[in-house]
Amino acid sequence: LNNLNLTKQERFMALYQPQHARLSRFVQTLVWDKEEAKDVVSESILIAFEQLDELKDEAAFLSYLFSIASNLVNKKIRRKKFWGWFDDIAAENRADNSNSEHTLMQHELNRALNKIPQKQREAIVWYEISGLSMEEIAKLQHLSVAGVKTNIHRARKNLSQLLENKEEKHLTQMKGVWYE
Amino acid sequence: MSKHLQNYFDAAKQQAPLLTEKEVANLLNAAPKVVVKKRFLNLKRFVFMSTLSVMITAIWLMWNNQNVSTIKPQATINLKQVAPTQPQPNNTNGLIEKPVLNRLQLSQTKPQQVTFDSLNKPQAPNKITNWFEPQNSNSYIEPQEPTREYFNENGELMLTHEELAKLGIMTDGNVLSYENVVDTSSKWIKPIVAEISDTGFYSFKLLVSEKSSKFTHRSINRSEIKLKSKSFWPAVIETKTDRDTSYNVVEYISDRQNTNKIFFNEIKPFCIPVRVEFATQLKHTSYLFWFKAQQSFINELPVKAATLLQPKVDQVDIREYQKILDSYSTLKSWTKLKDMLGEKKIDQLQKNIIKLDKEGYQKLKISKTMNSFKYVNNIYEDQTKRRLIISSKRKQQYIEIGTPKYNITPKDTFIQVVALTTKSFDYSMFFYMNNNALSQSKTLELNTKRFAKECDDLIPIQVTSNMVLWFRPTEYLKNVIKQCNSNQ
Repeated sequence: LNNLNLTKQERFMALYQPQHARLSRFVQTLVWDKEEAKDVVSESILIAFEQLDELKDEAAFLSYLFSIASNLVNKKIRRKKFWGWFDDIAAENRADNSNSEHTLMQHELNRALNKIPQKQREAIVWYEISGLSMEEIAKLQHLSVAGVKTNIHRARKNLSQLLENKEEKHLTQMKGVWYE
Repeated sequence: MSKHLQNYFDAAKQQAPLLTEKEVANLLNAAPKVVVKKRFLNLKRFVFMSTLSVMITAIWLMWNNQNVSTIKPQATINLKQVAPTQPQPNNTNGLIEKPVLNRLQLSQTKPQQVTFDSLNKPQAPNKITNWFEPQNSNSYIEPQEPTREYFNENGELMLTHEELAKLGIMTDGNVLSYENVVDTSSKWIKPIVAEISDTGFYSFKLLVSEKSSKFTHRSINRSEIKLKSKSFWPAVIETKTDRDTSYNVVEYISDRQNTNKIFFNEIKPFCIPVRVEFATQLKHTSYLFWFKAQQSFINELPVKAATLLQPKVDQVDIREYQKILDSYSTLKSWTKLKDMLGEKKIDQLQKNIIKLDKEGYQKLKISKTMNSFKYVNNIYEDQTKRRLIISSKRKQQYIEIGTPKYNITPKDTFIQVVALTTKSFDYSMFFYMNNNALSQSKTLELNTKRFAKECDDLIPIQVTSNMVLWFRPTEYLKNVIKQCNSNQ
């Protein structure tokens, strides 16, 4: 692309377009609040665009973009963990989603993902939902392909436990309580 | 990979992109500067660093002052150190140089007056040399666990004040307090029992003074409190005075009249008793805190006591405990409705239950799958500034009624939910406004009667295969149902 005499914006768009849906899915899966997810995507795009000149190898654009997004997402998750997960406004923002049958499932997945370690969480979302290859994830996480495979395997195991044993966990939570 | 998990991934894959390409292009056109290059020393950092250094110095000085008081007074002073030094001519040529003393030398050579008093007074050690000298080994004594009995003849755990404080039980002068929850606004008026259904966290505060001992049960909003992250709590607090014995079951049991019976027959085997003696000048009271036998609890105990209790913890199945508790919990006890309605009426009501299509549920703000649903609305019956969230996951196992939000504006007043029941009326839950002065059982009775009276006029909407929400027949709801019928 460097040889094609493109403007910075055109060059960025050419690199960004194939990753658009992948990035969006990654952020949406991990950041539950739709508005917050939008913010993260926009901010990732802006940072990537602004520092594009510093990117020496255009083949590394995917790693570059997802690293930025990953940092921003993790920052959000850290804050969420500190301030508490339960957020009605976030729930309502999401409830507007037209496909409401999937909304509950997506919410459950989001909650479960936030309970597993960061490396596993990112690996499984990138692989299963964003559709990145093992090699691409290995580059992003600075790991070997075998390491990524292990992370994905562990993530699946943890998620299955969290999502399938939900019933048992909810036993302790079941109460009809009046809030004054 | 299990199909179950794959379903979740498939659901996540179906999410539409958040921004369109046009929006991205617009974003780039109007790109604001996001990355700010940071200088190493900006004003904010300078202020922060100077404050930090002042704080560190202050802490160091405080620490040093404390050390001074712990060091034994020195009985002698090395007189050589305080003796004035004689100016020595160092000129070998025999010329006498005028002794020039700078300020530093003066301070070093100034002779000190040595009196009898000053010899007996503790001397402050040289602070700078203290940094490099090894610490006096007598100033810190390694805590050793004394050899003592942890259990009395009744098998009750006996702990010291410090060990009790670790569990959150504090005896301070005339007040015994137990807390594992702190109010951010520091406005505790009453001792509190709180249950936050979202996290399953259960916390309470107990305050006993000479004049009164109160155990008040109140549910509070999660945002009001800061949790002290103690994941265990006593199931029961037993008070034994000379006159009487009383039991306060902290767990959420609706059948409060029979709590003593429930406790003795069923809950007790799951608990570990901790004896707390509370003695003031006026009275002597003895409390038993019955903690659930769980790992997080014994982790807070001294090592020896914990190892002695470990077999009991391993033996106890907390899930069994929870099952017992659930059998007495609120939903289970609300079974009178079924008897009140009678079989005929139940049959008739079941026929009236309405199933909506996707659009209909969306219009009523209900998101649902086969076994679970979530309903969010800003009002419930008679109360305009509260938010109601009912969600259920599989076979009525999880129901939460949401937190009050004071900053929300009341909307959606066209949908009014009154109750949640199972199809067979085994379980029910009412959203009428409660009179706080009434007891829970009385409120329940009134609500059940009220519902039984007006259920014919209500509109039952099926939300899961087994659960029904009962709405007031508003125009909005009627329109939604009409539209659904015409679509079908």
